[in-house]
Amino acid sequence: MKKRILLVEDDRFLVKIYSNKLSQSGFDVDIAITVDEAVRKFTHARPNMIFLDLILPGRDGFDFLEDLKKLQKGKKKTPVVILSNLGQDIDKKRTQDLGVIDYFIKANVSLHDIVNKAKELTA
Amino acid sequence: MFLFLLLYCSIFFVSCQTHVYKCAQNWYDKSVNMLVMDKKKKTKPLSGKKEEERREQFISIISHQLRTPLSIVRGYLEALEDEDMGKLTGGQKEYLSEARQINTDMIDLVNRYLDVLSKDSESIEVHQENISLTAFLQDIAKHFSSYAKATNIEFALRLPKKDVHVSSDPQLLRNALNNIIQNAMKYTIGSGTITLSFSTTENETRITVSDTGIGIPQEQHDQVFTKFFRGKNIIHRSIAGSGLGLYVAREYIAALHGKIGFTSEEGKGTDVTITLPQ
Repeated sequence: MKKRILLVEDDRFLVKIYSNKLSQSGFDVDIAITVDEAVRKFTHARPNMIFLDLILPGRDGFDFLEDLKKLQKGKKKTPVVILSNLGQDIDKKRTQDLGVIDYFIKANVSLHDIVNKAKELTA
Repeated sequence: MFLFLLLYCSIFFVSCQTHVYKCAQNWYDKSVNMLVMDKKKKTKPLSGKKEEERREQFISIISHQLRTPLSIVRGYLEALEDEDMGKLTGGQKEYLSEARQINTDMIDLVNRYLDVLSKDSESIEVHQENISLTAFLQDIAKHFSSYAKATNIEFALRLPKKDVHVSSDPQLLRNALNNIIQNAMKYTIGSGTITLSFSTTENETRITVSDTGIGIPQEQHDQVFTKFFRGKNIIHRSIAGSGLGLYVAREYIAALHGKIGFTSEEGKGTDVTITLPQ
């Protein structure tokens, strides 16, 4: 059975690039462009992992991590990897405190790195 | 479609570079204006905390705005290189590889600007590790050797027989050396030799990058580690660069409690030496 990934990303070009590559690599990819949509899709689809952008329209990626924390209280945690172009130590520290597994800066990461991380976390 | 993409990349590179310079310039202008206004109005400058918050917000905005289009171009180019959209001819692969190199250079440039804006040597976080210098420099040499070969430069690694371990931050040291070696590559024009070596004394370790490049004019030696420095002999040759590589390297080395210095003779070459405490 294919592993399911929730991709929370609002840039239409990056959605196309990342979802195509992950699909071609054998994953089922759900896309959400807002935090509310991401919460809804997480609740219904129960993905094996999440790639999360931080700057989103309206509520941001940090808000999603707060929501996820509440939703998963006392339950098994779904691994979250940040995929953002923010990269200050303060952003990394904040997401780390909210339980993310890894932090990728989009401009510095290859599509292969993203696919390999997905394989590693869903194995 | 393919030619259109390459054309787009070229235009994008030029406009991005202009945009990056403008952003950096605006930031400095605003900072200077704030200081002038504060003096005229005799008002208190922003408190340390507020100023820090403002700086963080500014960096967030330009990180997002400059890196996002570069990430998109990187993604499309990688997908094409992986032949996700169909088989490529040899010529198409070559063009793509060159477009990828420009994209990588541009990302590197933006990262350097962000480094300069977000950090000075006092605020850089240092994570000390025990480093085997022989293995560390071999790894760096391996990375640069293939690139040097492609540009007709000889890359030599000269190591003493006995390995030395230093306590330092490998990432910061690597970044500093990368900047220095990239400079050496850029300014060793046509052909020449770049040598990476180290030596030790009782109190310190010295890592040196020597090149046989165009050198730095004597009258500009005191400006080499300042922001946006470009040698007069570089500008005449139209070699692209940010003028930030050595400035950032010096900040990293200062964070490691080390020193960085150089000797250079125009037309003969440059030796840049990092000195780290033992």
